[in-house]
Order: sequence, then structure tokens, then C-alpha cells
Amino acid sequence: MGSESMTQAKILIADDERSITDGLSAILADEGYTVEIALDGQRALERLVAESYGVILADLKMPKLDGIALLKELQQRDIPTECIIITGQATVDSAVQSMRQGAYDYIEKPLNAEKLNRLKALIPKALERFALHQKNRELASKLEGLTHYGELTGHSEAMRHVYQVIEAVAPSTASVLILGESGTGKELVARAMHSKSDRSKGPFMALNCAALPKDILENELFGHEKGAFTGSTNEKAGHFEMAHGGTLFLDEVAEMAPDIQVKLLRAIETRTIRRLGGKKEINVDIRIVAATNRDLQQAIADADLREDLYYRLAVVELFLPPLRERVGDIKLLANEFLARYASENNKKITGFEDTAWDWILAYHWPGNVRELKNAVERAVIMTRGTSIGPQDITPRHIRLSGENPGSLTIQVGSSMADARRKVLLGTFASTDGDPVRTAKLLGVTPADVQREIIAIVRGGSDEDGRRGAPPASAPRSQPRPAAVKPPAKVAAKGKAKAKSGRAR
Amino acid sequence: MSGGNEHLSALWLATLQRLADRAAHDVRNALNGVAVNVEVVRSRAGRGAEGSAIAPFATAAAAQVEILTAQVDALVALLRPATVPVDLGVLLGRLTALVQDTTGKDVITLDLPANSGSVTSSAGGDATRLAVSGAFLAALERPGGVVCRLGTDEAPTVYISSSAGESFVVAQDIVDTVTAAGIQLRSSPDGITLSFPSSSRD
Repeated sequence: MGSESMTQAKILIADDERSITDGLSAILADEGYTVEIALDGQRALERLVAESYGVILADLKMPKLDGIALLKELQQRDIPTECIIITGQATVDSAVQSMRQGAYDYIEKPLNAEKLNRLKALIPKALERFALHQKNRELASKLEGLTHYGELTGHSEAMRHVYQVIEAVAPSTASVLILGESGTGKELVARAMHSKSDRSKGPFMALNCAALPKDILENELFGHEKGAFTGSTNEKAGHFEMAHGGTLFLDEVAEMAPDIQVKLLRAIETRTIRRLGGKKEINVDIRIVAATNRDLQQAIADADLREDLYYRLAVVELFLPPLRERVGDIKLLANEFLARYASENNKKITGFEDTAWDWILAYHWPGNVRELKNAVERAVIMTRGTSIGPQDITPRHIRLSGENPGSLTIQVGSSMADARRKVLLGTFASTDGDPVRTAKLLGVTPADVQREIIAIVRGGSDEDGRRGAPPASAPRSQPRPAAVKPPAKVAAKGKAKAKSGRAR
Repeated sequence: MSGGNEHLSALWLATLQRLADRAAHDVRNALNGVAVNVEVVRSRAGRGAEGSAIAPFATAAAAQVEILTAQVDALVALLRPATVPVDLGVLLGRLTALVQDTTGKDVITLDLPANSGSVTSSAGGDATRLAVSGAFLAALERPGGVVCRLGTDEAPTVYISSSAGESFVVAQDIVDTVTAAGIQLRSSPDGITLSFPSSSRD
């Protein structure tokens, strides 16, 4: 914060001694501050409620509301300001107490030239802290009602935290490692980070390190000179060069071959690259954002990922929660996808039926947002009505879980619970996922069918409560990728970074 | 010194400490006022500011020096051995000067007759001071201020009451000690009346 903006913040002096308040006010006004006076604690509180003051200089002993009581009120009412307590020597204990109550600092009377100089030095620091807190409050408030951030969608606390981390990290040049299951939107986070940064006018280049064979990946990353290898008739710039002045997003970075990792590490450290077959060092100004859904601890232990590369990439780690951990966002996402695909397919679909919502909200979406998006797109295309029913949205593997429509094989010795599940799923599949017809065929209520299917989908049994033991035909809950845990060797670093970057 | 006198001296010393304790905040405030206003004068004069931008602060500093002087004078006078007979109007004036601002502005009202200088106590100096100060401090404990009045109806008398009409009591050991020294202390819902042995002023 510049000195000009600091002097714009107002200062309130709360003291019942007119001779002191007038003199102090004159001294601070001469320093360029806007100063107001309240002659007792109660009036000071009223002013602070009504207007914003960067700093309040409060006497500890005041009529109506003393300094400590005023501080307590400020805390309780969450009034943003920094309080400097002015106290007599006999009340140093109270000043210590006031520090515990959140005062910025305290100064003992009498305010001789030395103390006044100290006060003059304290005020800019207090105003700086006030401005920082104010900025954080504004950011939190800005993000509070937010449902969209860049191309990301979600208003859950987990996603708001992700937005906050992006907002904080985007302006820096620090490398960021995004951790999260497949389909959680890691590339969207990288794009948001790019668009919120000073590099937003530069290019955003994305490369999936798992999708390309080693040689091609190396070529894609660093480019090549003419004649570098058989068939290279022209020179070609790699992603590092093409991302110059912008952001390079490396997805599934832990899948990269070890010798390319060495080159990548060198490029990140020196900010220079050399094309394949080239001799010239080329300077690149890029910000690296990497992502993985791998268990990094295991990847490092298996020597699939170099530990030094991990340190370089994970200056800030950002964890993207799986969709099942942000259930509050599912409706928002599903409605958005519905509107998007209904429009794209020229269909007039009013929404989801209640039973479809039951499904959507109960299902654990192992493929995360991508699976939900695909399910909604499929449902929009397949539905013949004006709304999406459970049979439209039910995941395909659930609907098709019956081995043979019309017949079931149950092994002798199967438990009654397993047999029940197989009968239920088989019948459900044979009705193409229609809970009402299933219920009619099985002689139970549609609510029973839904409850049991939901229990199966969640990986347990509504009947015997054995969660985590789904039948062979039901989808197993995907194990949470251990990639979200920092490797054992770097646990301390991971903890230290948690404050600044970890979104979990 | 007899046991009774030692007890009286100890009680007076303790009361004086309470008065000084109450005055400390005011003394520091006055010093603060001087320091802050002098700093404004010094700073503005150094920058060649106009007289009109300096004068109010010089005046404020001078006013604080006056308050400080009165407080220090009162404290020093109370620390010195009392001269008997004790001038009750002067004693009340010193107590007021010392603690005038401890509970806010203008909360101590002195109602002194024109001939207040003739209202004196011939009881011992420490006993007289202890009686008046004890009642004065007890009244100050109540919110709303204190009213002090002198009377000469039958004997030199000091009336001390709370401005808000609240009753208050003086510590029993003070009551016993000053009674033994010939001072009558009567409590009523309106306040406390202290009657002193009369004497002509030296």
C-alpha cells in the first residue's frame, strides 16, 4: 500500500482529554492523515459502527466505555479497524490484556517527543495491516456468493477455497501443482490461474504428458531443428517456446519418462530450453502449472517421478475436491449442463424429475464433473419427454448390470443379501432403469427400489448396513487417489505449504 | 508516639495513598497534554507555521501546566505536616484540585461561604484531614459526582454528599479513629456531616 493511500484511511482518536485529542489530532493532521475525535468510548464505538477508520487511538481510561470494553465490542461486532491503546504506566497490565483482546499495539503516557515519534512510525504499519485485512475481507466477500470462477462452477465451501487460492496465487510466478481425481477440472483451474494472472494476454498451452509417446512428448515440449531426426524437414517450436509470455499446463505430469523429467527440471530451473538437434539455448518466460491424479508418494517411491522435479513443480499445491465431496455443487452443475446440452440439441427440457434428482444427488460420481456432464448430455439426447427422469440419467453400467434380461444366475450358497441385490439390479436393468416398473414387478414400493439402488450405488447395503462391500455387479467406489498426500519425504514441506496453497 | 497516634498516622498515610492513586491518572493526563501540545508548537514553529496555527496549542499547553501545578501543589501540601487549626475550606480546595478530573469534568462542587477562611478545625491535623478525605473518597466512589459544603451553625461543619443522592459509608476504622479525636461523624441518606471542635483561626 502506498503512503498516499495509507493517509487516505481515517484515524479516530478516542479520549476524554480535549487538550490531548486536539494536540494529537493536529500532529497527525500535519502528517497528512484525516483525523476525527470521540470524547468517550461509547461515542467512539458509534463512529466506528457508522464509518470506516483504519486506526483508532484509544485511551484505556475513558468514560462510558473504557479501552478494553471498546476492544471487546470491536471484536464481537467484527468491526474492521486497528486499535492502538494509549495507557498510563500504572495500567500496563491492562495494556497487555488489551493486546490479548486484539489491539495492534500500545503506547504509554506521557506522549513525549520520543513516544510521539514511535506513534508516528506505528500508524503506517497499522494502516498497512488494516488495508491487508480489508483486502482479504473484500476478497472473501467477493467470493462468498460466487457460483462461477473462470470456467469453474461451484459455490461449495471447498470450491470457494479453491477460488481463494487461485486468486492469491495467480499474480505470482510460482509453479503450481494441481492434485485431484480425473474429471475434477484440473485444466479449468490452470486456465483460471492463467486468466487471472498478468500473463493473461500471453498464450495458454496445455499438454497431456500421458497421451503421447516419449519421443513425441519430448518433441512437443522442446521442439526440434530442421534435420534433427529422420523426416524433420522443418524446424518446429515446442510448447515451451509457444507458451513464452504465458502459461504452460502439463497434465498428468507424473507419467512423463524419467529422462524427459530431467530436461523438464533443467528448463524450469534455468528458464532456457534447447530444441532437439539444436545447439542454441532459447530463453523462455513461462509459468508452469502441472497436474496429476497419481499417488505422488508412490510415484516418487517407484522412481516414476523425480523428487527434485516434484519440489520444483509443487511450490504451491492445490487440491481439487472430488464431486462427491462437494455435493452442494451437483445441482448447480447438473442444471448448467442441462441448459447447455438442451440448447445445443435444440430440445425443450424443463428440468429433472424429483426421482432423477434423488439419483443425481445420491450417486457418488467416480468420474466426477466429467461423468456428470456426460450423463446429463446423454440424458438430454436420450429423453423423449420434456424432463429428465431417473431412467435417463442413471449411469449406464447400473442400467446394464443384469447379465441377461429376463434371467438371472445366482450361485448356490450366495447370501440372501447378494441374491436380493442381484434380483433388484437385474429387474431394474430389465426395465431400463424404471423404478416404478421395477417396484411393480418385485412387489415393493418405488421408494424401496430407489433406497436400495442408492445404497448399492453408494457401495453398501441398505438392508445389512455392510457399506463398502458392493455386489460384483455394482460399481465400486474408486479409491481416492493418494496423489493428494504429499510424499513422506516431503511431508514437512507439504505442511508448510498448506497455509499458502493447499486447497484441502 | 502513642498507639492511637500511630494508628491515626497509618490511616492518614493509607488515605493519602488512595488520593495519590486517584490523582496519578490526572497528573499523567496533564503531563500528556503538555507534551502533545508542546510537540505541535515545536513541530509547527520548526516549519515556519503562522502564529494562528501555533497559538491555540501554546495556550492549551499553558492550561495543562496550570492544572498540573495545582495538582502538585495540593499533593505537596497534603504531604506536609498540618498546621492546627486546619482551614477546612483550604483542605476541601486541595482535595478537589487533586482529584478534580478522576470521574469526569466538573463533578466536584464546592459550596463555600464567603467567610470560609474562618471555618477551621482545632482537632488534630491528621485527624481532620483523615475525616474529610475519608468521607470525600467514599463519596467519590459513587457515580455522579460530589457536593461539599461548609457550615458554621453550632460548630465548624463539613457536609459531603453524592450529587446523585446516593448514600455511602465511611470505613469504620476511620469513623472510630476520628471520633476518638473529637470529630463527630453522622451518616444520613443525604450524605455525611462532619462536626469539628471549634477554634479561632491563628
